[in-house]
Amino acid sequence: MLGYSEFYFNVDHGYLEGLVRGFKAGILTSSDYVNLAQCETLEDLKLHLQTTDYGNFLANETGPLTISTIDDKLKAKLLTEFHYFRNHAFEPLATFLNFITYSYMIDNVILLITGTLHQRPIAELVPKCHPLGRFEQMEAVSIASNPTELFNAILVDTPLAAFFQDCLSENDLDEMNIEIMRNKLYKSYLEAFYKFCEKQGGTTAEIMRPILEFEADRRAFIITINSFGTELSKDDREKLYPTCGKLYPEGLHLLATADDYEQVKCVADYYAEYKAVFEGVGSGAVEKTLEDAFFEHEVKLNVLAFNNQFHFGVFYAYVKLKEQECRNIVWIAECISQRHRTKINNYIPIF
Amino acid sequence: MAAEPASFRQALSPHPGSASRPSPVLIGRRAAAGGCYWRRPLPGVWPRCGPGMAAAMEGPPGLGAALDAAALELLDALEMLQERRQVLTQLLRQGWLSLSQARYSLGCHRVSSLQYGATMVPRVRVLPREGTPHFDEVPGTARDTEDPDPQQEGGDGLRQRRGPPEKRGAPPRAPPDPLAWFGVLVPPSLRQAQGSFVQGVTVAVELAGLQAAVEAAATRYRGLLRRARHPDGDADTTVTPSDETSGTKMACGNETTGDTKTPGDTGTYREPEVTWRDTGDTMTHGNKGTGSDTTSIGDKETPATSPPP
Repeated sequence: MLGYSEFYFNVDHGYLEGLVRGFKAGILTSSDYVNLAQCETLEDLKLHLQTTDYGNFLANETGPLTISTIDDKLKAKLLTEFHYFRNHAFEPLATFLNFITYSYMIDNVILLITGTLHQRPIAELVPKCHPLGRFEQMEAVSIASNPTELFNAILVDTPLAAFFQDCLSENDLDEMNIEIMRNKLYKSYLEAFYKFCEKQGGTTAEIMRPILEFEADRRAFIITINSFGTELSKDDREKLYPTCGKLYPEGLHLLATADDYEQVKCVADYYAEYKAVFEGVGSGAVEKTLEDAFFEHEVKLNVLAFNNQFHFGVFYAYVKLKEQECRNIVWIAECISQRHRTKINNYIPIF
Repeated sequence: MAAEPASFRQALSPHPGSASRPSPVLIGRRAAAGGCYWRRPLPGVWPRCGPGMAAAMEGPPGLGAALDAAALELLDALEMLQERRQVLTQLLRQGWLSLSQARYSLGCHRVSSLQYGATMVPRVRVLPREGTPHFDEVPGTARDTEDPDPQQEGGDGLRQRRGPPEKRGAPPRAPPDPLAWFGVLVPPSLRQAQGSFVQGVTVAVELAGLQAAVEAAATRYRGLLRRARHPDGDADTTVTPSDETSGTKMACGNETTGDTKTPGDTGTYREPEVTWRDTGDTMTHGNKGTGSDTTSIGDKETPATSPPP
């Protein structure tokens, strides 16, 4: 029954929703961030993190603390929580959680291919992959030399096979093709995820649709802005835009013809919430970049997901909020280690 | 920072008011902004007693003027050196922060040592000019490899970018832009980082020339001073002050300058307080042989006197 999910949601998913809300209560608050920003060294940071939900996650680290260790350990903690959810999930939550991991799998595949292109040994690349996106055939990715081979030999057995339809080509994997492949994979993935959420209907669709639409539009903006000054042609660029957002179809056409930042801003002005996002850029006391403004908007949407009950959006929102928290902590740690404290407050507080 | 450049001239003047200035021992703090600090005073430069010294120096009157001119030249050069070092520090700090911003948007492992290959081709080479201590930036070609023959050019290239090895006979082309290592669609913060580091290379080359000029000016001054004190040409080892140059220390981030230009792994990053170990290896590439004797940058442990050149 559409719209009556409160009657039957708890049968299969009540325990996990309760659990994720408990984890959500452990997300760092703005006072925690203020304490972290006042640390002088990374050891102080570790000490402060011990008083939060993270506990002694860095306790077993021998040797001097580095930023990449902190990052890896933060991700490992999220991984254990996520695995617990996934192992206890029934359908359709299980598929939903799988969809969340596919974006990390895409990132891992591209990381492995790029690393192989730069002659890095596979043993060095695999530990750097995102733990949430691990799949069995990961190590074999390095032997492929063009996308068709990659698909036929390795990815056909992975869940990413469904997203590969658009990317099959005989071209060699150089930097431009890898970038195009990354974006096409992500576009297919996002559209498939959007369709899945729509099919679920009810509160899940109601919560997830705006989030995924924003993600699609954000990618379109970022691809456009980053492609200025590169060799990516406008037609190629248009093929990379995901179509499940608000910008489709007119906005995407306009973006495809844009030549500089001002024109992109004009396109954004047609859409109320994007106009607000672009206006927040560069103004005010703190210099905010466009990506920061997008992250902030995303955090807002994800926090709103917790205001509703009996839907899957809380799981997606939790993963994304933890990811933002990880970014914040790493940013503060970098500012501390570089002793460049002017921009240390550029993190985005969540609660 | 302890002393402003303007104090150099004041300290040197024979006015009694200058005595209130802190002594020439310009020991500065390690500023949080990564400034440089002097470990030792420049002996032989600072007259220990103003007017009395003039009486002790009985040389031809032209020599006194030449001494003054040489001292002023030295101090000017030092002032410029100081200023350029500040600029380099700023550029490098900005570059590293932009790199961190890029990591913030892309993720830590998309901007790390995984992105560059083991072989690199320099985009810029540094060649010492004949005669005067000057260094020129020369665009690298794709044919340059990791180990250039030092006898060929007399200067090591700054190892920076990579490119495929070229066949002999192919026209030299510019090596590929290292920004492409990180993908085609890179965030603007990464471009900014590249810009800062590229500017830093120019400033670093300039600094190397300035450092050589400072040393030359110091040597000239010392020579003049010796002639002024001993016009008959005796070598008097007891009075001659020790010949150590100032222990100015400056380092950028990592051990060798080459590394600061390449994006480093977050794990191997070191704090960018400005400590520059100049043993002829890093900045002044051409001076390996003769330069290092007179330019032994003092650690705390170096002996108080070293033989005059």
